[in-house]
Amino acid sequence: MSLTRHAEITGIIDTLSGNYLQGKIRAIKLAMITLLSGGHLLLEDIPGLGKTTLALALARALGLSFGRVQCTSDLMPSDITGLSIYDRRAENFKFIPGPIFNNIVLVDEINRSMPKTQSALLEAMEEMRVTVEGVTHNLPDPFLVIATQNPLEQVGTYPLPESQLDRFMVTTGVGYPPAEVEKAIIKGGSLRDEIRHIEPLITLEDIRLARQAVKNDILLSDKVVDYIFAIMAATRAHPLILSGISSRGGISLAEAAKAAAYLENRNYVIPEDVKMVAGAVGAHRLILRPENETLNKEEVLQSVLKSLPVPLA
Amino acid sequence: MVNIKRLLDFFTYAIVLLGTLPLFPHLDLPVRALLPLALIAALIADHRGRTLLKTPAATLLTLAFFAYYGLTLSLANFILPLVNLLVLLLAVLLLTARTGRNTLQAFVLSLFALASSTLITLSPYFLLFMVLQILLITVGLVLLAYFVADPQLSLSRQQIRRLLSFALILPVTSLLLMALIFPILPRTQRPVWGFLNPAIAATAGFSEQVKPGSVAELNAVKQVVFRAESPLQPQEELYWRGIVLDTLRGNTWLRGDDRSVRGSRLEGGRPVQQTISLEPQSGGYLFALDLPESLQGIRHRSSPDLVHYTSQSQRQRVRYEAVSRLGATLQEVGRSDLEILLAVPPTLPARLRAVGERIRQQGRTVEEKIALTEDFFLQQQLSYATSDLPDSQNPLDDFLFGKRRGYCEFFASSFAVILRQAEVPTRLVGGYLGGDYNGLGGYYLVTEDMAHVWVEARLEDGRWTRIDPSRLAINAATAVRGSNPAHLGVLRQLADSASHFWAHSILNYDLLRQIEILRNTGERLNKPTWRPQEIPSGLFPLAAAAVAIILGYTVWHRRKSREQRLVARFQRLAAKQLGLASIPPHIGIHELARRLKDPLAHEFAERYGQAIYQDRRLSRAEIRELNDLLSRMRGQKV
Repeated sequence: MSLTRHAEITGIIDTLSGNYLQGKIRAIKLAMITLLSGGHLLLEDIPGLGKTTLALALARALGLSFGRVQCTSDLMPSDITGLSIYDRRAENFKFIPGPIFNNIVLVDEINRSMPKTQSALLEAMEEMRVTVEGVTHNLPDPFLVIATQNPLEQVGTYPLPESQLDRFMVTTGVGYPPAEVEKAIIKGGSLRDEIRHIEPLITLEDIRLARQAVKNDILLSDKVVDYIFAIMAATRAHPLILSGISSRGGISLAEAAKAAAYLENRNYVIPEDVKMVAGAVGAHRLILRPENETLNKEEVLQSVLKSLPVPLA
Repeated sequence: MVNIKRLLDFFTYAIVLLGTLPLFPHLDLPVRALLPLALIAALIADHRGRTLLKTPAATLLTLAFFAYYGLTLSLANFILPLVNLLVLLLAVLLLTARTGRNTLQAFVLSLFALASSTLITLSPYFLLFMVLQILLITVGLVLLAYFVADPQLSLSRQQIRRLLSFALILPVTSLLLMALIFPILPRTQRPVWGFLNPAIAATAGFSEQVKPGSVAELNAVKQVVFRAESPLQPQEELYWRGIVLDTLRGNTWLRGDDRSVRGSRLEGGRPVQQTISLEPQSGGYLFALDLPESLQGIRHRSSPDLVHYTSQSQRQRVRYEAVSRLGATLQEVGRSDLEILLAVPPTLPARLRAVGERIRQQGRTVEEKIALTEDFFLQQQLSYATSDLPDSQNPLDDFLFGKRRGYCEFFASSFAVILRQAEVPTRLVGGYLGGDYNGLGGYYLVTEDMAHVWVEARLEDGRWTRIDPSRLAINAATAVRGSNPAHLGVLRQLADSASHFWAHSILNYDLLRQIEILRNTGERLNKPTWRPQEIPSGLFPLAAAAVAIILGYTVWHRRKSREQRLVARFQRLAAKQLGLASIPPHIGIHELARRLKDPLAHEFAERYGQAIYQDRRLSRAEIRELNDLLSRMRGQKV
């Protein structure tokens, strides 16, 4: 027995990772998990590894509208949300929606924009609507923000504070592709053109049904809840960590684990699902003690996971 | 973290204690005081990290002890000085610096001390001490090896636990091996020193002659004489007959060479069956309840006065069955030798002679004469005592008219002398009176302090009647044993049951008999003759405790749910296949299955997880199926 629309969703992952985005299956899966559990994705990696390609391919394959914001330090909130322009013929103001009114919005190099713009964007992500000049506009559903940032860049950036990082459900890198794949990419050139011609593999309705299935049909047993709580508690008591995973982090962990279980065509969550998403969902929420700031948060979280027994019986 | 030195110290103290404890009662008083003092001092010194004795001082002290005990050493008094010296050396060693060498010496000396205790005594506790000592010393040696390599070494609790469990394998295996070869090992039934050096000090208690007044004070010893398995009898019937003394020579009652009685038969009475285990002793007399009709299970001779005697080696414990008739009358058949039975020494004190003469004239029948004698005893207000006894010059006179105190020999002897003067044929019977009944083992424990002498007088029709003059003492109700049964505590009963079992099954163990048993095993298996009453019931509490421990462990083990056991089995299997010692707890079953790349493992994880992670318990059928799956998994890999 298969879960609702499971075949279609995994079909997309298989097609993308097989034909277009080789070696990026983990990123694709995490993106899909984010989409299914209604969160947003932060891709943290150096430029040129296919972050934009990933977002683009995803939008095309899902048959969703795609918008893109390239952040700069002078980017204004209205550049994202849109603004009203006076229509001389109709003699009134007409609202021109910004790039945020798309199903998938790619916010490139989010840490280059000013905090004011960042917070406007993050507010939209949280509320699923924007208010421009007193009028509230609902954003389309599904709505997925894929933000990218370059972790190495220092000059002229406004790093996202932890409270805002917390709004992203999943943070992940893309990583270098395997050598063979990379050689093929070098030989064949960029895939951008090909990606523009991907036919949608799925309808909006399919996505909605799949999201519903993730929300309603996947069982989160008490044991796994205990396990998630144990992870949260352990990060809070960890000597290297100043502040651990928040309650929102815990909810995100559970939601993401459910989506991961859905991708495995399982109607219940196992601890392995939690472990699979824990790094992506939990690591960026940790605040390390000042003296340990150079440590990799993901590795710290993995060490926490290794110290916790998995519920087995 | 546990410091290895601390642990080793603990072992050293335990080993020293175990080695010296069985010796403790046999040590000289100063040594007995010194050893605990040395232990306490060593404990305190250890705690403060100091050394009390430097090596030169210790050597000097050792030499001084050697010199002192060397002087007291003689061929006759050999083992006790040696044992004392051994313990003193141990005490000195405890106070010196705790180096590897000193610790090893302490181990060896403790082992010697424990071994030397068998020269003095053979108690069942020795087995316990020996087993513990073997366990402790073996583990102690392993610890010592670590300590010598690095005295500062500290180990985590888990490491210690593993180290100890590994170290225990050796002694446990050797103990099991010992238990296996136990049947063919020869063993001694008496303390080894007893063979080489027969006891010099005479034991006060049963003897083959009665001579009142030979000692000024009687120190009764609580040494076991025999144990008689029998149903509970009325306390006043517990006269254990041993020897009959019919000849009075001077002041001494003897068993004459000529039998004064030609023949006899028993009439009436209630038969009582006893199984008697006699400790090794020098006599040859076989005891049984008065009047013992017949004995079985031992080669022996019986005489008409119902004295049973064996000439079998007295180095061994013997065990025999006896049938007695309680309350029977011993009827004489044929004529007895009145000359022996009426003989009195010519030099009797005048007062005693006068009493005899008076009774002879006043009493017409034997019964009347006996009653008159009893009246006389009551008039004299005699008291039963074991100290401040009548003087040895004229013991009977002093007993009856002077100090008026004495023990059974005085009562019986003077009573018999008076009766003989009154022309009543009389003799003394020696044996034991009373017995502590061990309800656990179902036997009477008779000790040397229960030794007793009473009187038998012959009536006109040839019947012998038992008279116990000691009961005429004014304090008979409290002083004479047999009238007041001692109530042993459960603990003592248990201890004595254990020692009875020890003597009966371990010390008395006979290789030839064992071969016989082996030969008969086949027959025995075909027709089991096991009877529950053959097992000393003292074993039952021990067996019950063992069973309870095993049950408790099983229950504790079973505490794990079925699911937990299933997962544990899966993990063990996976660990084996992955070449790991154990599966770390942070790895789930699905992850494990992925690593195993085994479709069966996947199926297991899938089906197991389906229940567990949907908050459902597994049904019995599912558990069975999953177990099958695991068995198949194992089968295909092997």
